[in-house]
Amino acid sequence: MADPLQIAGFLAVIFAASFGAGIVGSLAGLGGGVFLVPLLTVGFGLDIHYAIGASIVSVIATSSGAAAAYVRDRITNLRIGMFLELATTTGAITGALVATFVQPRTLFLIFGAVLALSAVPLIRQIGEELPAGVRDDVWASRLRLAGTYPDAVHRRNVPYQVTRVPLGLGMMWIAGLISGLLGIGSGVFKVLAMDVGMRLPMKVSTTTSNFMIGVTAAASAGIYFGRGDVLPVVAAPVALGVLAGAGVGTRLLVRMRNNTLRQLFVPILLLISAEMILRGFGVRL
Amino acid sequence: MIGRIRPYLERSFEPLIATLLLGGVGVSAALLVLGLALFLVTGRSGYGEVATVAVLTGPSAASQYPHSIGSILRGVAELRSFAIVELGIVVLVATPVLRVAASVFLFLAEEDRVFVAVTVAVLVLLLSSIFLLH
Repeated sequence: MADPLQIAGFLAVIFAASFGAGIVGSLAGLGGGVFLVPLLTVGFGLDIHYAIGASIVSVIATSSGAAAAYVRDRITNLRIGMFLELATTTGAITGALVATFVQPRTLFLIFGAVLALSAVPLIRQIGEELPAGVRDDVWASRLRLAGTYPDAVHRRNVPYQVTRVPLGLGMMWIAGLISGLLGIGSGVFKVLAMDVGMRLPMKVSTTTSNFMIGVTAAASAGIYFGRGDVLPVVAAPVALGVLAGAGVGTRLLVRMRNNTLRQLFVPILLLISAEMILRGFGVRL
Repeated sequence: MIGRIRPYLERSFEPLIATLLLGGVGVSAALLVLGLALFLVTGRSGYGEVATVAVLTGPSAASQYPHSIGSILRGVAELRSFAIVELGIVVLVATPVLRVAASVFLFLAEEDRVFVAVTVAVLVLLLSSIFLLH
């Protein structure tokens, strides 16, 4: 016999959790898998494959839902996003190709540690509302990557330049590699590449990351979908909850200071780093 | 000089991308709501006997639902609730891919050769990772 109340309750809890993940993800420029995967595996006892399938859906929903608003509001830098997608898609393919030859546990340890270390330059930048003294490098001026975004807090259009594009490309390749190999943590590396690497304003970094993560996730979504890892009863409330959450998050980001956003980002980065290191030691959350 | 022209060029560019993303998300959400509502009202997924959450998320759950576009569309035509949900997921996944494809044409319209090449390369890489790697 079907139990409609139990099923409705299950859908409601997943929707509510995804709503929260959607708010945080749309602010921080990531997909919210760091919150959803432990909830689904530990909370509901779901198989890790189903949880990662749901996480992929959440990444794509956050990306398209949030980017629709951020692109319209001209906070996302489309040219930077599309140029760097060259590196993320190449990285994702590399990851899928070498996946059979490498030990995921070692990689979780390495990238978890890299993330933890990257908190240092990020924390050092706290207090800096807008990057100062950044000049276009050769790549940035050739490709016309510099831009302007409207900042409601400062009540003006903020122009910015872009530096160390090759470093950004390299970090984006790693972000793609991680998503192809490990399935989590690619959004956080993208934000780092743009904020710490290319020195963009924090809002431009997280919104451009948001814009890009959907493409990175779509590259591997076909694999998960074809394997049957995307369960309708889980994916539907995840997608709807995340979309609703992204609707709220995008309204919040506009009114936030870059510095507040960075302060919000640091603990999330440390959480993702801890989750990766735990998995490296064989603890599956 | 070009830096001064750019903001005016993008004035037509960004609303188009934003509308495309919003459209994809809207169609997907409508299908997901419709499929879930049908499922809750009828109590049927359209695929096998639905008992509890445990059955819907259990180890054999994956094999019960359609995973190919053809079988999903057949299920939608037969008004199977989970086929409608799966079509919603397919539309969601297709949205970023369509966005990259649309960008190719937008950069073509701007006669920005470098970015036409960049977006074409991204599209080829993206499609090959979706269709070739599994």
